[in-house]
Amino acid sequence: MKIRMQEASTAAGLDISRWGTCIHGVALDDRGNAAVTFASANSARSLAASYSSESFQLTVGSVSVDAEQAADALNGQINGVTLLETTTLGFVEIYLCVKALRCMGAVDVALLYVEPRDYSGLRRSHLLHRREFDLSDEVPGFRPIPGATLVTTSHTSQRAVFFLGYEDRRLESAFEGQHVTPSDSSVVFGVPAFSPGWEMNSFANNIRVLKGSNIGTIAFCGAESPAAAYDVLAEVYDSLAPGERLIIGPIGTKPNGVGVALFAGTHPDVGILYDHPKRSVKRSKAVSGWHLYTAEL
Amino acid sequence: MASHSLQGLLSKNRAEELDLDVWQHFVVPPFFEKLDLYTARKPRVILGGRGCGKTMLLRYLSHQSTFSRLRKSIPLDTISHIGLYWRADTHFLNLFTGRGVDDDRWHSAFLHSAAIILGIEVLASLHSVAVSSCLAFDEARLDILDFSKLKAFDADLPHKYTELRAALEQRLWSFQAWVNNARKLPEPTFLAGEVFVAALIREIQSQIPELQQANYFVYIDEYENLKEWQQRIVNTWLKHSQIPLIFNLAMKRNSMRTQQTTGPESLTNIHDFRIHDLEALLDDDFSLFAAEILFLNLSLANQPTPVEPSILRSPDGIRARQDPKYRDGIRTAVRALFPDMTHREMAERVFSDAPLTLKLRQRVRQALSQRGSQLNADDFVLASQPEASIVSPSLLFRTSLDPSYVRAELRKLDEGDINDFTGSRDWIHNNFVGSYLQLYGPHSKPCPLFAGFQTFCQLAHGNIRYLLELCHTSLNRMDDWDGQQGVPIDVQADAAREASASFLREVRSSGPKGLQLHGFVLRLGSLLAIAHQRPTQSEPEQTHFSIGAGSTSLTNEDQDFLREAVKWSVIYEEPETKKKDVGEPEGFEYVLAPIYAPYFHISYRKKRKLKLSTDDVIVLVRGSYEQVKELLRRYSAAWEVEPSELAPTLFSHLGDEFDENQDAGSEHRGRFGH
Repeated sequence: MKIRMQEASTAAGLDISRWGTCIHGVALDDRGNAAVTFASANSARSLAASYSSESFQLTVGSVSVDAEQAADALNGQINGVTLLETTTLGFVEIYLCVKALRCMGAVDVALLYVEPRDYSGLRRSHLLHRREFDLSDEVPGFRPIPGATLVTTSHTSQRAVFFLGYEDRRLESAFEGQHVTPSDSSVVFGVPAFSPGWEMNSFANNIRVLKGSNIGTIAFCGAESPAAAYDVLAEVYDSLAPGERLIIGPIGTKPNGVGVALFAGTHPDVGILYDHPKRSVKRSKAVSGWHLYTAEL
Repeated sequence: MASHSLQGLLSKNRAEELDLDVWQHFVVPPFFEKLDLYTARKPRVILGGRGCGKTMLLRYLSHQSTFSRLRKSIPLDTISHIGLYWRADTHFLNLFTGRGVDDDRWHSAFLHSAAIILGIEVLASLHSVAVSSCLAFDEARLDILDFSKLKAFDADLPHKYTELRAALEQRLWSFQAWVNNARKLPEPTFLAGEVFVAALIREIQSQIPELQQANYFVYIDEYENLKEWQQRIVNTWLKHSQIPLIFNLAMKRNSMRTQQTTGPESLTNIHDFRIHDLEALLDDDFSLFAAEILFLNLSLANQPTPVEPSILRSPDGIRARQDPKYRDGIRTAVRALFPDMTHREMAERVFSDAPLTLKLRQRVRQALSQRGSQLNADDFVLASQPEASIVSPSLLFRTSLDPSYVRAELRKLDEGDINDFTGSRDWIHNNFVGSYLQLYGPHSKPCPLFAGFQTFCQLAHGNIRYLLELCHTSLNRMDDWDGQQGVPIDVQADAAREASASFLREVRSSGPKGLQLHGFVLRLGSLLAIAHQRPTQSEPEQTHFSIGAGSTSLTNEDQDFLREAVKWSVIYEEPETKKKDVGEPEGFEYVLAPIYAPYFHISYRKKRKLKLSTDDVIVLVRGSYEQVKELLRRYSAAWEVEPSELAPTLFSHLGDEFDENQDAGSEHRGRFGH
């Protein structure tokens, strides 16, 4: 798959042509607002999309369908090249839209991602902070996604690739509750990170889980590069033994998740393990780099 | 020495990390005969917390381990018990809902998945036996099996062994495709669940006479993760289990959401199944069992150990392992590896450590000053009476005791006379641990109280994974360990603190309420840490709580949350003891899991209880941060604990508002207690 990537410090720096339809999610912070405003202003039509991990329903605009009918939701609503505004869309919405667009014969898809300048409360320290005492919402946990869920038994063989972010809990939960073993898993760190030094947050937070887990391999790919994530997956996929399946855990950066969505959306035999985190309001502050990816489907 | 391979072995402390054949890694637990697994005709329900060895036991009982290729000889009668392990794939099974398919079809789909998975497992068990050292039958016998009768379930099923197994595997893939896209793909021909499996077993037994007396025991792991309607189906299998196909379950506590079956009758304990709580069964034998597991791992890494692996792996070896001489030998060896200190030695250590001696003297001075006494602090810090010296500051802080009385009792002790330090008031016995923890202070060096194999066992509280991790973390800190030398006390204590912190973070991955559980443990641990800093140590070692009256009752959700905390073993629930008012209704008390004690720098022993009101419990469970802060402040004031006495690692967040409020542009900087 050919993925072209552009990066600019402001939206004006991106080389764009107008899109037929933009699909976006709910903006919860500064960058989300900026991204949706920009995407809508440069598209003939804007559609909001959301996915419920409980009912498996995808809603695009005013149409709600079961996940496996994603193409039916887009059919008749989109026109021309589609822009997926991935800053505000969740991973599953991106994946289902990519899959649906390919199914509908779309030639390519554009994907926008806007970086925050900083994440709120993102500190690395051995001391406890108030946020650890604050109550968090229930984590939905690893719920299956129709079309991307593999059955695992004592006699099936699978390799897992996890893209890692800041929260070690997500990887640990996967090993605790899912049928993937650390020794049959690879983890991928986003290096280089969005900002110099941010990768240390990811290392520091995940090292505890990795240390006690006999992880198969550790790899690195640019935190802001869907193409690099795609390439890592392609490499692992090509090296699978006969009968072995690939399970992907997109629990890292959004651009890496975009790479996973593009890969899984075009490889129906892979499985996805995803824990559907709820995004919190004002999670990040201000706006930093703008990224526009164009992928040939 | 192959330290890397050793560390590798010890770090594999989860059964899931090992192959299905766990035979060489398994130590038969001392209670194995009580489980009566080989002759039982009634289902067994195996209960236990995370890391207590449920999965390992189930895998040991399964055909992959029973007929392990690593076993040099397997008696013929071994084929009377054939275990089939099934870890419920909850990720896949959670897809069995909605999406245009009605509930009855999903019900049939669940039965179909069981038929395929267990069908493959039954066929695989034949292969395990055939290629093992058990002489019951060989692989050639499998080629002549004829499964034509199974066509009654699906006309397309092949009749030959190899082809049937391949066909079931193929059906699993096409079933997976259908479940993922149930609206658009044609529905497969559903196989009839346990009925199909039973028919397959009957066919095998009719053609392999050696297996006519065999019983097949299905071990379903992680039952708690099934949806309630799926649990009802499994309950039905349990209720109607009969030889040669018996269903058994393993789960965490508080996990059976329903005892209903798909029929009118519900499951009833004893009548339909027997419960075995692994942690309760181990109880007194845990330390010896844990030592044997540790030594087996060392043995697999080619280290000399006092154990004979073949005896540990066989149920026949249990009797030999009861021999007191053997048990003493194991205990001595493991104590040499992870030595501990007596309280006397710990106290003497303070006197050989100048900063600690100084701190002890300062605490005595502080107490005397607070009491307005002119006595000399040196009178209470006696190298000849180190244990009594350690508890002196706490006694001096007590307004009920005159400092000169304490000094007089200390002199009596020093002179060998009857005294309150060792006599009926037993000041040393009652106050040593609390006082010692306080002296070491939460910001200080590793505390020897957390070292020693017996201590590790108490920290682990029946959890094998915790125990192995404590040992592993200790050994990992030994740069040039020769496999023989004991791990120094400081290294062990520091390792305990590291492992404790690591397991505390792990709480966040304890199911859907993991983050809330993590917050709860932090809140409760902080409260107990403050309790431990009481200058008087009037209620030393408070590590558990009961729930008294309050202005608001606990809601059903609060009760569910406490059950969830017990399920994930972050607290232990026990019937309430030592009630101060006999008129109180029977209740429970909740013990913070001791593994978190080193992190919070509190005692790991269950000694004294903290009676909390329902209001306090509600704040710990679901209160806002401000309410938590107020609760900690209130108890701190009541217990006369100065904020400066609290560990910055634990309580720095209480001065965190400035950082947190920067986002909102606030310049407020809150300080705990002010």
